[in-house]
Amino acid sequence: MLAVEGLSAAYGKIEALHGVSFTVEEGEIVTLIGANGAGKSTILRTVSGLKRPRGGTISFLGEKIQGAPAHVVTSKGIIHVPEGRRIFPQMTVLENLEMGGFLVKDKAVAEASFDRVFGLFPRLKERVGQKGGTLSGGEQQMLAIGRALMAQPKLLMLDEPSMGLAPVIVETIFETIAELSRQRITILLVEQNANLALSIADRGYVLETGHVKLSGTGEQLLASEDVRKAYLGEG
Amino acid sequence: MGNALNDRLAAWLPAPKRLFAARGADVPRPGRRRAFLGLAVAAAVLIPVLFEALPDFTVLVRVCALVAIYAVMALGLNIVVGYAGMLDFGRIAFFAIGAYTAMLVGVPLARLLSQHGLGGASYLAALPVSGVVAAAVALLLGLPMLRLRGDYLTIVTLGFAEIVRISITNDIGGLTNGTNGLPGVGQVLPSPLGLPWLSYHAYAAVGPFVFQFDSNLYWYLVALAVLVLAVVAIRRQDVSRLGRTWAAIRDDDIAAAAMGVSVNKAKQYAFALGGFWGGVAGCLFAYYQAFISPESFTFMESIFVLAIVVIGGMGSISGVLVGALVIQGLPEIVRWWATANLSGQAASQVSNYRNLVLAVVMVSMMAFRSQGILPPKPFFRRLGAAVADRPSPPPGAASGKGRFSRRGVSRPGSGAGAGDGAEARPAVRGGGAAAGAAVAGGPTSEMDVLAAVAGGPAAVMGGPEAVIDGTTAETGGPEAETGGPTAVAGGPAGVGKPAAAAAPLLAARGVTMVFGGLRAVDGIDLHIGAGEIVALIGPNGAGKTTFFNMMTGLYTPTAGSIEFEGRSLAGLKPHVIAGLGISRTFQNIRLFKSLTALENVMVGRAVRTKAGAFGATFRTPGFTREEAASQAEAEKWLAFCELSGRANELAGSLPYGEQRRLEIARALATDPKLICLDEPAAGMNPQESVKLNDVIFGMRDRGITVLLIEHDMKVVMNLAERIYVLDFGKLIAQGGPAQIQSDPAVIEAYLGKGAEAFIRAARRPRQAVGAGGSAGPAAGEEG
Repeated sequence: MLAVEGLSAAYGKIEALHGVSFTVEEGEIVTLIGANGAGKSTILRTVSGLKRPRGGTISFLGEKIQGAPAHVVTSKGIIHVPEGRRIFPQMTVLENLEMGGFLVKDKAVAEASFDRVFGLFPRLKERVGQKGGTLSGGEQQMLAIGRALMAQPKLLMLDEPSMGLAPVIVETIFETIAELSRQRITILLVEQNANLALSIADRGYVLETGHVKLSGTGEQLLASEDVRKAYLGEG
Repeated sequence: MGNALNDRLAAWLPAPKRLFAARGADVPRPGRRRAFLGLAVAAAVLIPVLFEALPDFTVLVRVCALVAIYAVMALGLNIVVGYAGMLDFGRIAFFAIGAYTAMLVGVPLARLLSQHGLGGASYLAALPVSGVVAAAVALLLGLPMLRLRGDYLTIVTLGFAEIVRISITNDIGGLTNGTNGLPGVGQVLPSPLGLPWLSYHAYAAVGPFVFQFDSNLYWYLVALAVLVLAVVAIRRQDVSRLGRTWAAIRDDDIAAAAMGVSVNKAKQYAFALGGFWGGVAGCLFAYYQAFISPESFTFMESIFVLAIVVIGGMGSISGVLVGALVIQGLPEIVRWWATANLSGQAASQVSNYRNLVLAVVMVSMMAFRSQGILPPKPFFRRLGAAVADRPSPPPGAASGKGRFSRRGVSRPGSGAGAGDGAEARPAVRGGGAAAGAAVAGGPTSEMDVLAAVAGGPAAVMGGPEAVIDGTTAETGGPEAETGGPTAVAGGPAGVGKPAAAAAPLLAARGVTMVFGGLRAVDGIDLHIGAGEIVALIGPNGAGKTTFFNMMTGLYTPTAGSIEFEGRSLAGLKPHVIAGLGISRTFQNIRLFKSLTALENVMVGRAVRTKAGAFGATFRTPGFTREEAASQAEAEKWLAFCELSGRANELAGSLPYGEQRRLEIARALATDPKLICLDEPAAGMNPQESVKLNDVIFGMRDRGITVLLIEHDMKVVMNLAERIYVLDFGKLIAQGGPAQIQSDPAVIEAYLGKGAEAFIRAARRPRQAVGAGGSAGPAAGEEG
């Protein structure tokens, strides 16, 4: 579905990605793990068009999309839930969700999307009139995911959805991710909590300083000695 | 001056290292820099002298003088806008005040002095007087005004400038002669300093050139001298403690206040110093023009000066100088060229269009290079080579793991940062617990650490052996700690209450915070004993960070009291609380992004140091000593957080995990007794969290009490001796890690049904640490 080939990107003179290649097949949950600064978020930013690549190709459903602006990438069905949630704090929950559905013209589709989001996150329904900025961290993360779902994603890219959340909320979020996967949404997940991410993912890629260092199924990586040592805080 | 120019010059010279130099290693070369500065000053003196000698170019000397005068004013504004980050639309007010002061003081003074043949020297007295008067006005205006932030402050500056202009126009107090203006000193007396050879009507014939040392050139040279003084003084202030506090309040005033920087005082300093140079520039202007009237001090002039700063590069001295040349000089040069070379009509057209061209240049600049022509270069600023060249300390054994003991004593052979100081300070800091140890007759510091840390009688009892035998001490630690919170209720030794509870470092009673109708924090009672590690956990939005904000003075509790060392924190400002010894980090990382890692940590030292503008400007011995001590202290804490190799990198460019640790280093540099860490492990991967554990144990080993908000249960259960759990603003549980993990209310509200898995996960690294070091039984196994 998504094929990234030899992707490189840089911030000023500092190259953050040196030829990263990976694929995501339809219906999969694929996770990117690695230390801070390994380039995980940069990959998501480059795929979603927030950042221009320096080289390499990104194809989505057979179409080359590297270097396309973010709103074009979004219209093709790649939706990015950024690190730190980035909801619109001065807008209500409802308005935040409406912004997510900005590109959706069909009213019926939009209605169905609202139902889906409120079905997944009943908490958001209770708070439709509240301003985004007044929600708790967990609710904001729900809102960020909900907003992304409004845009009818084919591929949902989540950047550190568990960051700064209470364990009980992290569980809810990961249950939601599993549920979305059951609903045939393909998921590309970036996580610090490698344990959790690898348990839920079909496949994973381990990044180190802008390279793919290892790849394999979730179980393989969880069992890998290197991964346990370097990313699970063991040994 | 001219870092970018310097770079360009360097490109012409063989410098092979440049190609491969990393950013952090990009340090100044003082020799070359000095040579360049010398060249620039020589050019600034000689070129106008040459202009004076060439009849066609003589007009340009006048342009040079105005450029220099405006540069002085713009440098003053740069302190306010570029360094301290306050947008000022009314800078011309201080220029006007300086100019009128010069006239009102200078003319009578010149008359007086002329009786002694020193009439021309009056400006030497008028310059500082004008500066001081303008600075005093700035200070007075600042008292009420600087409490405002952002746009409000800008509007006030705009209004103030109008008040000044209108007052002058209306001949306030009969001093200003209204719209007719005041005649100057220059016309009164021609001979500066009363020395005939300095008379600006002197002529000199050298070869084919005739130098007419007239008033334009004379005042240009005076203005240039003042400009050089301004550059030196302002640069020295910028690279001092004062400059760092300016950068800190500009980048993040809340974080600055929490680190002990008095935001108001720093702003006052900036505003007054900016006013001073505005006044000095005004005085130069008055003497140079020999006539002033309100027309010279309009709103447009304020914008003009602001444009110099913005186009040149906010916060950059060289940028401001180039900006003055471009904004003030270029249009005049174009007009001069057009008048000389074009026919009458074309010349007037060029004159008309030059402002349009300038406007287009300004708009394009903002669109394509918004940071200005020569933006400030942090790597060249301030500390330079000394830090970068220093080799980073050897990495701790086995990726830093086990550098600090699990609980209690610093093990022999622990890493570079951990050893020194750990022994001595806890004895002082341990508070009640240490006192208890002292009573038990434990004279050695290791023993004090242990007692302070465990806070329990068991430790005191285990003390004597600990002194003799380190191994016993280490086993003694966990033992006392295993009791941990249980010890509060009775303790393994079963002897009374621990010293920590008897004299808590921090005690909160019935603390409540209401936002609108929401009770964010609702009647919290908690206490923290000296030397403890206490965790505050709870769901997002439970009020944990709100509680931190109340402790550190950002919020005032609606009800209840917080006492620190028996002293109420009610109504104290954040920087005062930081001074008392409470420091913190922030959930959403609030570093000073335009400062390097080392400078960030040095801002933390601001609360323990006191050098001001005077010390910085004149580099007094006290100032130099204090700066060196600040730097040494900051380097120590960087090393402690394993960031030595990053000292010269911009804080914002560090990877996330290192930014978190840098925030901790900055907080530690304030010499806290209590440090509050708000989600220090958020966004860290498990490996980094393990490193963080070591850092937190390390600070506790140094006698610093830790209060921790964290969602990573591995970290919390591993570190905390006691845990408080908040939900919807209320305390729902408190106790030791094991107790909390099995508390049904906590599982329901926070840990979730997967708590078992989290407990299992929490155990694993603990055993790893235990195996790698000295810890003995891990607390996770006690229940």
